[in-house]
Amino acid sequence: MFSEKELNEKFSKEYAKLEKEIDKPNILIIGGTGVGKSSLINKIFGKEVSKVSNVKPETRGINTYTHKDVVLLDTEGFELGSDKNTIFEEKIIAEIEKRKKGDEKNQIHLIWHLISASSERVTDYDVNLFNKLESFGLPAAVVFTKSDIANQDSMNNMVKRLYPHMDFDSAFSNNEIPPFFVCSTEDDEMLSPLNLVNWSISKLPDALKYAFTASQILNCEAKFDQAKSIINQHTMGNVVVGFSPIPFSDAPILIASQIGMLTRIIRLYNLAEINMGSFMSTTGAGLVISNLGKSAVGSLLKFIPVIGTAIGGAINAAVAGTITFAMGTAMNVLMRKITIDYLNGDMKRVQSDISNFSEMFKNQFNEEFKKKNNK
Amino acid sequence: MEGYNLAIIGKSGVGKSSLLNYLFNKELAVTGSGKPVTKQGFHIFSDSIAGKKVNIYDSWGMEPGKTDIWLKDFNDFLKDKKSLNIKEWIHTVVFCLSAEGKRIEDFEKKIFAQIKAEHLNPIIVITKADLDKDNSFYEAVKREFMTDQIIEICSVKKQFGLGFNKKVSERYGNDNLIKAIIDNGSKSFKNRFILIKNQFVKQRANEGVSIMMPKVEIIIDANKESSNLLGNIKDSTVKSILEKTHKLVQSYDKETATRIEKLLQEANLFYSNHFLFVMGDISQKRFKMDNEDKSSFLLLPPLLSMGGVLGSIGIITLFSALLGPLGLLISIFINKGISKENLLDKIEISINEHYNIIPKSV
Repeated sequence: MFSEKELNEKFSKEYAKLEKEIDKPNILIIGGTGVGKSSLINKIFGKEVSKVSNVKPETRGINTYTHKDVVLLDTEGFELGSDKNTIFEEKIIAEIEKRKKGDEKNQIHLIWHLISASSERVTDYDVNLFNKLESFGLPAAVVFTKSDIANQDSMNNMVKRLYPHMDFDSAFSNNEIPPFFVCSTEDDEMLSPLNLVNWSISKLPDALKYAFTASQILNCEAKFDQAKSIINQHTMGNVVVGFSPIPFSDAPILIASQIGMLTRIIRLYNLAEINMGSFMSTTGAGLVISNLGKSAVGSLLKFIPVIGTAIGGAINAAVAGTITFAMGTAMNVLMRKITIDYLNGDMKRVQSDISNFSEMFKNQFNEEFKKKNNK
Repeated sequence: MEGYNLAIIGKSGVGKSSLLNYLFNKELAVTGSGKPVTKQGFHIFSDSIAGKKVNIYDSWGMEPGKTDIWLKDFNDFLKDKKSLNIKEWIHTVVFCLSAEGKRIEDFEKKIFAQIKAEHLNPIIVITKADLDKDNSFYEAVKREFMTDQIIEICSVKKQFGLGFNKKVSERYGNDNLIKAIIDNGSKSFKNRFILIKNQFVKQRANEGVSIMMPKVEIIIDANKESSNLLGNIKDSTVKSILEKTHKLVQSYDKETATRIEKLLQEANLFYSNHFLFVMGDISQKRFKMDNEDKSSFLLLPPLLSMGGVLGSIGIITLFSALLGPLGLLISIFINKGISKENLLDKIEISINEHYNIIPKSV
């Protein structure tokens, strides 16, 4: 059996490893001055805790920095002034082409082309850039920002500049998502960048979905779903481990594999207020987890004597999977709850959830375990 | 062209054409959205504001990727707006910044500085000002452009908001702008007048030698019969040639002064005719130069007096300058006189000195 301290260390280590190894998508963000780039970024990913600018100065005109688990290539806004613009255009195109030739990791995975809806203008410059970006065949989204102060007629004219055969009113009022996004950073549900977030997740390769989903703060359900698929992966992993019956005393091996899963779930929710690295020791959840496997199996054996007698005190594949599933799901459910409270600004509740976390986790685990077992 | 001339400039989409329509209270300029609406160039619209004829130059907006052509157009536009004909001047420049983007670009600051260097004393108008709720943009503009001449305007009544929350902007601010134009007019005029006057004086000085020298030669040729045995011009004749040259310079300078004075008179007339917009709540005072204005105009260095027009090197300086070196020459060549070529050279140098011009050949 691990001591609590050992377990917490394992979590911290696993967390640091995950942080280092996480595959981050590269998002190119294009937009002129005053389109509200940073407000949109903050709206989608939350305020930056630490904005680390890339030290390499060779890509002037594009500031590359990591924001949570995404890499943002933030173009210096194009502005008025003689040669600045051609340099800017060459920079963007050159950067995309350069990366296209490189390995998958360095590709531009998403392009967000921001245009201020309230500027009432789509300049020739934007139109040219739009056409050029289209030709690259990369997932590129036109995002109309500041739509809370935009005018309907103007918007229609702007949309026509990029999509000549499209009518804004019908495209926007339609339930389907138009090829562009109409956003605002104000609290207006109709103008939430949520659609942009969902579109982005859908366009990313599977390997990069995790990092993006973890970084964004607008879609909590996407986090929940992503966690579910992580739980499934790990449950299957346990099934393999469990093929040869694991002696009761080997439960810690199981726990070690579960640490990876739990860490990934915790990071998925990426709550700025909580230091994820020390989440386990802060909440005392580590101790609970270290005992859970044992007690769960113990209680299980009481209820289902068949297993107990048949395998003789060893955890079989199905039981291992059930334990893992219940642990993951308990964590997922609780993290979602805390996140929702957090996003609603109910900090009091978040604090009380954190201080009661071990107890809640234990209860939730038992509940999930029973549910799964009864199936 | 009759009327008070106003130029509206700014970035594409800030609402220049809408401002024009708001000022005239008429849909004269085509406004729109989607793409830059106003075609390349500076387009004049004439109408009246409170019974006074006003011409507004609506300019095509600056946009990224097109600033080079814009700047060239702008410079061409300004070129013929500083003649001695005050009616052709731009009397007030309105520089628009939009509260929508809430951004100030270096290029805008550069153009603003250029307008100021042209002594045009621009008024800044913050368009779509209803979007500057916390006044942060107003403060930023004040700081970055170092000016207090800032008017907040909302030119169009419009519905905003594509989401659930709709807002309506009301029109406001044009009475403040008209007030500002009236206040700005006299300041702008004084500055602009000095610039144009100095430019004119400089031009006259530059042309001085080439206009006067042929005349000097005629004077010399007319006195040829008084040559001595060496074919040189006698000293006594040189003296009278110099006196005639002096008169020539004097009348040339008088002409310069007269034309400046005429410009000032025209300006007075122009401003008293065009300057006042009779608005309900705007002061009814006619524009006329009060005593203080008048004295400040008269005190402008080279304005009304002959000496003044010529600046620090006055007519008397010229005369002694002419006589000085020649006086010396006369004593050296007392018996020999001076050759025509030599005399022409000396006179040319003296005239150039009078206008403070260093000949290129030196």
